[in-house]
Amino acid sequence: MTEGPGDRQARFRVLYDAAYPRVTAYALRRARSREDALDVVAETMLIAWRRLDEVPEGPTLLPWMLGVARRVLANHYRAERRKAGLLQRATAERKGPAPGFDLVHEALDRLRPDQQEILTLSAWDDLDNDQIAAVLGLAPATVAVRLHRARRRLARELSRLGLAVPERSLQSEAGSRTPGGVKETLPGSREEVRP
Amino acid sequence: MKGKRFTGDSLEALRRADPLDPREALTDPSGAHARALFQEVTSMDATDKAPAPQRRQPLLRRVALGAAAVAVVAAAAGGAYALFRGDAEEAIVGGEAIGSGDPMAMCIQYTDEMLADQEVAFDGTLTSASADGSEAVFEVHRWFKGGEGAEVTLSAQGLIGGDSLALVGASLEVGQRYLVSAAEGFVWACGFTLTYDTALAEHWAEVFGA
Repeated sequence: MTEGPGDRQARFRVLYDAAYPRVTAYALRRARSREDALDVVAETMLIAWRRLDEVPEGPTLLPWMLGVARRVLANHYRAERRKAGLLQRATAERKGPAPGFDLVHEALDRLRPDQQEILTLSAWDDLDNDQIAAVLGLAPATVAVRLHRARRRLARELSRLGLAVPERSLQSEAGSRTPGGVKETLPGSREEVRP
Repeated sequence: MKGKRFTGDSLEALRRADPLDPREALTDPSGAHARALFQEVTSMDATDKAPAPQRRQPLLRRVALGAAAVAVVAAAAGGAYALFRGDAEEAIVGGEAIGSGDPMAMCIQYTDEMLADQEVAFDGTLTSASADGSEAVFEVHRWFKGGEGAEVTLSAQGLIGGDSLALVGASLEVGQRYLVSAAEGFVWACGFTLTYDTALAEHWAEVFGA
């Protein structure tokens, strides 16, 4: 029986609702502007729409989607003659150093791009080793080893920067690192708060 | 700064330094952006489907027609010249564009002018590469632009390894000879790096005035 357009759209809806928040968060954390991030999300979703039959279901959906987003992001910056290293946006947009938050980012910036990537996939995207392995195309055992080394290296850089005690809450004086800030008013957002 | 030692969990410290402000993230699938994007994506023609990633693609599939035409002319001219010289090595036919399997038009449009504007260009063989492609070492046979010496290390992330092919098409392989161009230390895909081809090498030499 042939699948109708409505059926296909319904199938995509399930995927979209599940993946949109995580793909968007992934792109916003890493892109250098809000516009870039939204471009990455759009391209990623378009690929999923056109390759819907190839998109895995269940626990492997998210790593598949983030793997596509990762490559879209890399292509995006390669095509625009920008370096594809992580977190340069965050550094560039920093208004001033703040304890904790910015030191952690500075320490992270000192790591190799592959170490940054594996750490942020774990810490920010909350992926386990199997999921990180799927995103990066590595064996889970390799991820475990590299993650362990990257954590040690990050701790060493934090020591060098003088962050001796982990902060309870790390907030930047520069505010959010999400690029561009909010353009649309969301229910409950700060833009709705009036004095 | 000296004498202090970070004693906590570095991963936890990183987790607390998440740059994403949840109040600012557009992560609600029922939000305005999400709804608009869903409409936009699902209105696109789903039959314009990505071909399955192929390790071998037709000659210059993604390279602009103009460049291909020039290359063909160059091949013909080069071949004729080789016949007259009588000492030419057997022509190598390649020209498979690296990282060009992307059907979503994310590739930047190839032009000879953009190629000429690349910072680095050479004929070289990939001798080694890290698993993620962040360090790709090439033995350089001939520089067209921007370098000297017998070896160069560039980043080719996303262009190496079987799993990276889902989006970007043909990948770089250790032991293979390529015409490589790069900028800011990154190998360019989308027709700006190809498997070695004798005629194309001559075309590159003309483009770069080498």
